[in-house]
Amino acid sequence: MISLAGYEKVILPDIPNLNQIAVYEKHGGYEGLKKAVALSQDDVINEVKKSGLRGRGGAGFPTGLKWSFMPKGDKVRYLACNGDEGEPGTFKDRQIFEFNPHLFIEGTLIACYAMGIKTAYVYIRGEYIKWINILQASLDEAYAKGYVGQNILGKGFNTDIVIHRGAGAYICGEESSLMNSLEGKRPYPRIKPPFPAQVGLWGQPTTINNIETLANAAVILRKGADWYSKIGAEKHPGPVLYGISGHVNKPGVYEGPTGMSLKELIYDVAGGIKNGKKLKAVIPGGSSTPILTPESVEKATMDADGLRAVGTSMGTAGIIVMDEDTDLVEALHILSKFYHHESCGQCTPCREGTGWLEKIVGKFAAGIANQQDYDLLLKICANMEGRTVCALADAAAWPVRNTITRFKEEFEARMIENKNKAGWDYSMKAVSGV
Amino acid sequence: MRSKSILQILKILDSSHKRDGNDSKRPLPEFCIYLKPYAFDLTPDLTLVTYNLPLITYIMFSFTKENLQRIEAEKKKYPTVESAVMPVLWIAQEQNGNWLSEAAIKATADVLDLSPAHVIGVASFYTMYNKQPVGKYHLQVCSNISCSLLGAKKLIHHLENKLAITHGETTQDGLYTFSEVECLGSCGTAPAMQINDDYHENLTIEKMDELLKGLEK
Repeated sequence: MISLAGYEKVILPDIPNLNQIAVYEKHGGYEGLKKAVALSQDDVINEVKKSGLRGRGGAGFPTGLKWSFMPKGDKVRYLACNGDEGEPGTFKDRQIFEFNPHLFIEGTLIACYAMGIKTAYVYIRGEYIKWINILQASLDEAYAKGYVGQNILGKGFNTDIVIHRGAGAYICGEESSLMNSLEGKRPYPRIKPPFPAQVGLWGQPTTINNIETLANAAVILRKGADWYSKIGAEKHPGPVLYGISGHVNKPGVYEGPTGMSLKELIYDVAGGIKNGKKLKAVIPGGSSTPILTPESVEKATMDADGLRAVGTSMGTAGIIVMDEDTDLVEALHILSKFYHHESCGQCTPCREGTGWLEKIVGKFAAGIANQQDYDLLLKICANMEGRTVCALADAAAWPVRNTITRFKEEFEARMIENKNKAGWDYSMKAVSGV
Repeated sequence: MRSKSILQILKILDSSHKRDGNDSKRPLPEFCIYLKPYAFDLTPDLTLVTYNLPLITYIMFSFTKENLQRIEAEKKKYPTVESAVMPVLWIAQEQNGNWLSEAAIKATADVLDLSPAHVIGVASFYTMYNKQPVGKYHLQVCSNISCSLLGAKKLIHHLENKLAITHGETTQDGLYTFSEVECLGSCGTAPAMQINDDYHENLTIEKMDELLKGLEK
């Protein structure tokens, strides 16, 4: 049983003013970078491989393996750091920018050293202008101290870090869309292959990592892969930032080991459900991950395997808690509206499908849907999943499919044929609300 | 035919300050407005309705010297000039009073040697580039899941009633624009609102009223 007891925070430790370089250095800052540059590039990648670190941006791809895909040679290479953070329920990267920006800068430098990269672009969502300014101030400090720029630590390797401000598009969190956005194009996702490690930014080999992943890389180099791989779940180790929101007493970002039980996170860490109410549903990893029933929450642990066992995934570890009074139909309507709004319009199944999902879920919300609409929703989901360039269509279809199957009775109660049974008021006001 | 003559005059003015060197002595018009003669619409019973509205569609725009320097610095950050389009659009929006007019987009295209169509394509993709004038205070309230669970819809309702505007509209005094936006990344401190660039979190109706009172001063 993995628990928070005895866990020592490393990503967001309780140290005041850690965003200042002097304080950061006092607490072991930039030691990971010093250790990294003493090793060969391959050794750094192997160290990250050995640690078992998996990407924290949603897909959970092994980071060391991703780094090893970068071709060797003189080719110009790029690193793109993904701080778009648009997934509803996710608010972890802003904590890193605010409270420990140097850890992220250090991790970025380690990644650049390991892959021979001279320029790293940090893509941060446009709304986060406050955190962009904080990161820029920390970056300026790091430049002044000679950690970033030319001839870093006297080892003759050069890396520049550039911050790029987004402008409010969820799709830019998708790696190939992010690259098009950085290139100044309309940010449509790209077809793969070729993968970014072969043809990425401006046609050059590129690696894209999440902000939290890079912060973890700095911890690995500082403390060693052996130490790191012992934290949390065996196959998905390391510290993770759990963002807990919704109907809990103490919402917020909490650092803990992977593999913690979801129940402990909700009831102990986040202080339980507001007003002592009962739990109705939990979305465990940002809005795209399938929703969980209270029975599944009982046995779920927050790691890739533990969540797969209950039919969902880790995503960004943004846990959205809903109490017994939540109208799940309305909640799903909000999510469907979101995906419709954010679909880039490149692929037909997604552009049209997200619109239809919103409309039909809206019919349920207004109480004028019927059994055919229910079947149609499942059919549209099947026509969207895996049929588009990027995963936004899947991200839109999964919440719908899983919410309407796992909470079928809620949706059946809103069907027009059950309106008398449920005592639902079939008034013109509700109809015109569609 | 008054509006036609205005269009003609503006066309001449516009062409006069194109960057061909010889005309640089001619003074630039600082503020010009195209009057669009009418907008039209079809009602549900298919009758054509025309409105005689003076819509502002064109305001002259050229980058200030400081901003041209900033643009040069932005260009150096990327291997291609095209990549600087987003930062330059941010600069243009900032200079143009928090929105991108057609002229501001054209100036962006000019300064980066891109086609205006490309820049419009980029600017129109993102929600944070305002394609219409916005009020002095742009109130952006999150209505996504975590905020809605904690009552964002009530806040939006309250705000709409109080200011008598809906999503995307501006009050008549030009002070407030209200937008319902997607996740602001403030789920742990929901419900949240962004006024221009500043976050305001853990909102209640009372807190929102207080905020608005503070802005009026």
